[in-house]
Amino acid sequence: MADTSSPAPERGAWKSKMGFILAASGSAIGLGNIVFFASNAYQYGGGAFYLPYFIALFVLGIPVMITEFSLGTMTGKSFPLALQKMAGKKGEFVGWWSIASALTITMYYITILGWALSMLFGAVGSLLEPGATAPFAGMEEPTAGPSAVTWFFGMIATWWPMLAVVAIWGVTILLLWKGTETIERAVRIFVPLMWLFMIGLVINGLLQPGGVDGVLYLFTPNLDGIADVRVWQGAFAQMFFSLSLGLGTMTAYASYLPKDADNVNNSLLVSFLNCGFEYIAGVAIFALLFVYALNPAGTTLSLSFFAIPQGIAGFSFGVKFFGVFFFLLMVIAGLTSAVSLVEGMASPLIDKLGITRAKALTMVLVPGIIGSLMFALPTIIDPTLSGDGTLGLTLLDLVDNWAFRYSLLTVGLLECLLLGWVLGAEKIRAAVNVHTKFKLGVWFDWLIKLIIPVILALVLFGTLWQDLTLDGGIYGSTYDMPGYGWLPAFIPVAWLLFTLVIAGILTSRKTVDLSPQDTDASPDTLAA
Amino acid sequence: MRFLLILAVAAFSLPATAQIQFEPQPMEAGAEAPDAPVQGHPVRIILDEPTESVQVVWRPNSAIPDTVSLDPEGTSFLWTPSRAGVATVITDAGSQNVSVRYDEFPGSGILVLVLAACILFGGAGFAMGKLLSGDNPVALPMDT
Repeated sequence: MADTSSPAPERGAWKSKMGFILAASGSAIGLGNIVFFASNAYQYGGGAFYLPYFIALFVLGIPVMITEFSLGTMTGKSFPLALQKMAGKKGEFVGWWSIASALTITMYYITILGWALSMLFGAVGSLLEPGATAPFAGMEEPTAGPSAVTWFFGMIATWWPMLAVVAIWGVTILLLWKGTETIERAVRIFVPLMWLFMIGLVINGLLQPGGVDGVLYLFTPNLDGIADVRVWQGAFAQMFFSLSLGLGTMTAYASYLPKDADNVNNSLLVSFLNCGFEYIAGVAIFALLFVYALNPAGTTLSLSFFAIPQGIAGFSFGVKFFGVFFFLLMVIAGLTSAVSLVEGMASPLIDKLGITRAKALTMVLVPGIIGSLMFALPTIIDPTLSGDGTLGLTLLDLVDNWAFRYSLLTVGLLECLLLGWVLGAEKIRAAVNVHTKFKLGVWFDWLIKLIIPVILALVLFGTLWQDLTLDGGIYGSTYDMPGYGWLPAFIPVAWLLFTLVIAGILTSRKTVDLSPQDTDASPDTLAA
Repeated sequence: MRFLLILAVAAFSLPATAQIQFEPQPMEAGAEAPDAPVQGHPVRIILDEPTESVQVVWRPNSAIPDTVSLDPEGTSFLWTPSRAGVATVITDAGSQNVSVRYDEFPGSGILVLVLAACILFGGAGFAMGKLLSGDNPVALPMDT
């Protein structure tokens, strides 16, 4: 029989199914979705990349999302406490470790979002006009034409990004002030706007001469690279990052749903919306880059801040309009993800410590804003620190490499092992099947217990092997950083210590349980 | 990431060391030349200065680049691109990207485009339909 009891009112609850779907898909669709898929598809064989991509979606993405949603709805708790209920203290430690990693990621994510906001203002002003300068070697002279790269480096050397970072944190906290109530209100505007803006960019791209050829170039399969293990590694890793798994955000959002939510259907819908957005983003980006013969290979930063604005600067009309359009899209996509990241951290603090939402948000805001400002600071105070002016970006790159690439996959691996073997995947499947029309078979148990952990372990160890060997030492050791050569080894150690200490402290604290009706979900009470 | 940032700086901010022009040519005398380089159609490559070698890298900066060498004759010579896509033309003096359009729509590309759209948007539509259907057990309203 369906249990329709809702989570405790103090925690908040979604007012509608649509509110939850918009919030969860808004969380999954972030800065990376706009360019990440297009870049990977270009590098690994265009349409051929869809083969590993879809396998990753169905074998890894959707099953892990079902698990993370189920954790939230079954326990009515956020990630660490849900894992604690299901797998004991070990589970809680893993949960807090993921939250500490999410804090690290949020710090620099909001710095990048601050840069995107600065670029948005720049698009109204001088970003897409000639005459850009930056205090770096080779960039001192005003450019003859528009140069997004020079403008970007000029911008990050000013104090404006600090203001932008504070503004982004301010808006994020404002959107979270009343929990699900304000999140729901925001995503009802932001998520449809995001789709609308992207569809606008698609139409514009297709109307450009050669735009359709660019789209066909994206989808035409080149099978030369399909046997390359990096292609598969890239697809599985991208799916995990793209769907925001292993961060605790999906469990936090699902914990505001009634217990009888259909987690399979919700996972399918959120996953397809996220990947559908990547699909149309790929169309828009490829059409644009092909028209201007710009190289689609690159990172979120280089494509979003350099290549795409450079393409927009070449438009015959509406340059400023499309510039504003694109950066507004970036800021909105980033904001909906930032909101979920911060909620994913605030929610467990409320659950664990029994504190008010305002206190929990402050506990996230204070270290978060300090961290974000620290990431923006190096390029401002001394832009020539490392000789070529990118020490600040190098720092961000090193932290991103360890905190983002490793923590999400590690958490995914550990949560599958804990839930699959300690709790028992069959118990999750039985609980999910009570409330869904798409009944999960025994295959789900084996995915969670064996196949996904093996895939994630292979991707993790493959990445670690590359990071320890391919760069002639630890990742980043070949970077030219006079006086800062210790950074590549220091960053992973510092990140690990920081996250493990936070996880240890929070796991050892006593839990103040404010929602007694949620205690019915535990390994003992879950019917298998 | 940092490496790519530096690459991007090099690609976008520094003045091009070589100006390479691509002039599409008609397939036969009297025919009209296409607006941009097209697969299978001759293109005249015009260089600022003579070069010893010219290389065309298809799908540059990817995991599967393919390099083809051309025989330059002075500062102007014909090249017939055998495929469509993004390519980098490299001379002794520098390099420049060029987009080569399709001669005819590639069937495999259209097939993948349609299939992927059917899976993603068909799947989303199906799941949305289930969410909207009245027999969904969730006690929440569809919308407020």
